[in-house]
Amino acid sequence: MNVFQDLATGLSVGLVYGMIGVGFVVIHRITGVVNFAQGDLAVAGAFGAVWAAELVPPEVSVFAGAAVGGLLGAALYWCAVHPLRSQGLLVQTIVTLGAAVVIRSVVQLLFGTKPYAILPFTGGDPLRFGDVSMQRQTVWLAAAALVLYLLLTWFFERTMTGRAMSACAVNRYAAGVVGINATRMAAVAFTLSGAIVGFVTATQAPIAFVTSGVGLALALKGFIAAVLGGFDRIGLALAGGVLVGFVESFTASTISAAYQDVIVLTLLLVLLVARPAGLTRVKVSQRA
Amino acid sequence: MPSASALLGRHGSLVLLLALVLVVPVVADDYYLGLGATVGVQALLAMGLILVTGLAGQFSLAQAGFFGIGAYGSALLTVQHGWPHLAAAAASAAVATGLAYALGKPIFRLRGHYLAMGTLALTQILYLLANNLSFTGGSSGFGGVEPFALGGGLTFDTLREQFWLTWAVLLVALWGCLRAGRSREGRALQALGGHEAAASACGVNVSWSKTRVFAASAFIGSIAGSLYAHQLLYVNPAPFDVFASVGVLTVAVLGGLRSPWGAILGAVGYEALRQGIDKVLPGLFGEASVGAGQALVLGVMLVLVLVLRPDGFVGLLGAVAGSVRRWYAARTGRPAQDRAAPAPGDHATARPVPSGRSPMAGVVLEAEGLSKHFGGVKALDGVDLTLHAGEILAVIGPNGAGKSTLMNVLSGNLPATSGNVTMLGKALTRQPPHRVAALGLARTFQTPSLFAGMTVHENVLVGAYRGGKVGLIRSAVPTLAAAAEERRLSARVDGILERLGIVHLASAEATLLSLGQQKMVEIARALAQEPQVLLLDEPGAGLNLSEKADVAVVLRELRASGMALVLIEHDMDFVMQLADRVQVLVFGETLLVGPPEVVQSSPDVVAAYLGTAPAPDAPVEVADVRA
Repeated sequence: MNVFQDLATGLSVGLVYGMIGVGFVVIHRITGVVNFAQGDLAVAGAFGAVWAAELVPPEVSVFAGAAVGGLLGAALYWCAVHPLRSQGLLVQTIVTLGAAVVIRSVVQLLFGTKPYAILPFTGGDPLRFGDVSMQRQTVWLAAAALVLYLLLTWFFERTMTGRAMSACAVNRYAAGVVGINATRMAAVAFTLSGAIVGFVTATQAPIAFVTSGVGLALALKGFIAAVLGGFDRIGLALAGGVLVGFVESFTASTISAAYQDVIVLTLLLVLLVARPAGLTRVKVSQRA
Repeated sequence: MPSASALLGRHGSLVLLLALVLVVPVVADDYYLGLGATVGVQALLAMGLILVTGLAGQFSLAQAGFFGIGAYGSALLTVQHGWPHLAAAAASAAVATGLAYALGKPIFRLRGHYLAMGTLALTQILYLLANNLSFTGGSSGFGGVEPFALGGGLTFDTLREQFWLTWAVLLVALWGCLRAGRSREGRALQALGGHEAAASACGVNVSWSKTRVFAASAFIGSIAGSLYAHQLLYVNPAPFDVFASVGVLTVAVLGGLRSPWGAILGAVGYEALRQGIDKVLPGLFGEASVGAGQALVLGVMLVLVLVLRPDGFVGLLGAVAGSVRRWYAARTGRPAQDRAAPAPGDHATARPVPSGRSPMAGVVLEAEGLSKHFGGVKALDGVDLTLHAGEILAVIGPNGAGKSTLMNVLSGNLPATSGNVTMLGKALTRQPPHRVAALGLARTFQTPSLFAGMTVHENVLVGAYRGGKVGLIRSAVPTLAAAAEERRLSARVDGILERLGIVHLASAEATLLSLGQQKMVEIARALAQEPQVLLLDEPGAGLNLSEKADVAVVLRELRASGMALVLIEHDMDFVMQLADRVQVLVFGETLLVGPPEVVQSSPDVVAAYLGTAPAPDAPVEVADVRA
């Protein structure tokens, strides 16, 4: 019953939720699609790292995780979402759910339902602060999340492609008029989104085991993070994910581990009903 | 929908299905009877989903959750509390429906995708509860459920009787859904999926309509669950997890989301595929792979069907039937009875409107200090507007002046940042569009906003939405009053189509018409609301001269009948020959209000359009004119 221990435990899983939330936000801002395969892209990326860790050191294998996540994200866009571009958002969203099932079952056919892990980047005992202990890998994970966040911010604000994507997010039609290729931007969004969730989930794999079936649960909690970020702000989505992680570990240690998901998901419903704007100040119902 | 429902939606197919349901149990053995009952439950679940996702365009993943409520509700109440079976099923359905109301009402005010994740979370919560609570028997569930029994010794013990019971319920649901889909409320839902802003401007209460159809899907899902519990005589959590919701979605997509028939075709096709997979997969990947392999095939199928044939089996059948009909017609030399959009230019001239010119001089609509800010951009900044009965007020201004924003704020499609609007003494500031419509304000949109997949007649009927009262349930179980109302609304629409000279377009698909015809249909839809104020956003844009002349004739007649009109238009000739007064907007502020001659000769208006600097004394002059 130590709150600080809960914070330390919640941080690592929360960062993963937060990055999955960021993945939701990136895709949704640019295409309007809620990508139901987001969690399964993350899991597939982590398994990519598991596979690569047989051959290369763990800190290199996570880049394989990013590559797998990114490639699958691109494949998802070109094979499923893009062919349905004239069908409207509802159908495009449904197809991502179908893709989620496909990715999940392929991973399960390849790796079974057993949990997998990779070695931490640096060995040694957990760090201790008083009676609070924290895995060394959590520091790596936090650093990775921070660097990714800074890179994304730089990308969207400073690079030509990133700014073109931001323009699509504000007004797709006007972006098209000034010569921005919305299709290319959407493809970049799916690829980027897959790569970041693959990378982060792989980096977390030394702390928590990954299993093939965990994608949907990750997606749901990442979605909460995205809602907390108002489905718009990547910084707030990341922070929101960490918050979800804290709530989860706090519930598990003080109330009941069996009911932690029930409580977190009920909080999602409460959030949707009572404060859909999440941590932002904008009223969601007023936006287009 | 038209071609598919023309093929399937008539009574012929219902009779055929009824015959099948009666005959199959007589010839089939127990294995197929059990399978048939399972398929019936799946079809019922998919039918609920088609209502909410296909008809209303809302992505729900709650179907497995409602299914579970029905199954566990019936099992718990009958086994542990000894309730009569029918009462237990009804109580469970009431719980599911109530939950759908409680959740749907707030979520539907938000963007659509919140529903998908919210319902996914709901299904997962219910699944986890069933798994963890003690009175539900945890992960192994509990048995002891009896076969369904109505009072008076009427029981459904054998597989044959269960088959009949399930399919009887399914047939009733199918019939009700088919009827509801063609009713006033069904049209409104279809319109919502097509163009939400236009539907709400027609007076449809968007979040309420969606909530009701969501509740209907919950009801159907729960009934399916009760049937399932009384079939298996046993409940456990596994059949109600989120993947069951994905399964229901796959069934509906496979069959086709656009028609209730899709549920039945989809459920039959899905079960056949699953049987095939179970036979083939173990040979390919080994015995252990069945679960994942099945999921893989179903996931691939969901993606493939969407990519290749988004309208599913029903759409495929419709297309096949269409080409057979054309082939037959070509052979016999008779023209195919296809609905085709009439050739452009095929418009009749508008009929004169009975001109009982009664210019009520009173102020109908009044706006004070109306502002709308988007972040730092002041699209409207303190605009006043006065509109009298029997006049046409034109609002002009260069691009970006705030004309369309003004219209959206007046109609309630955008909430005002500040300021007040009153209509006939009633405040309508920041009221939602359907309320504004109820007070007697109708509008058209700048870009064509007719409802896709619906005929002209159906489009205009949506405009008459507020003229009726019959809801989803009463239209599913039609009463005499409901039929009479439908005839009355239909007659109103016929009258308007005739009055505008477009009666020959009535059965054409609206969104396939020429731009000019679409604009005219949109005016017809607005008139079906029988409004006192009509806002027209560029009714002449993109029209040729003779079409513009037709529109002008109609607008003059409406003015003569005492209606108050606000007209946004860029074509100055069109404006100046129609308008009684002209209001000029520039950068969200009123530059000038006055008769057309005054506005035309004002140097400030010329400057605003051409971009020259206003004369140094301009502000004073503007103040003079406004006062």
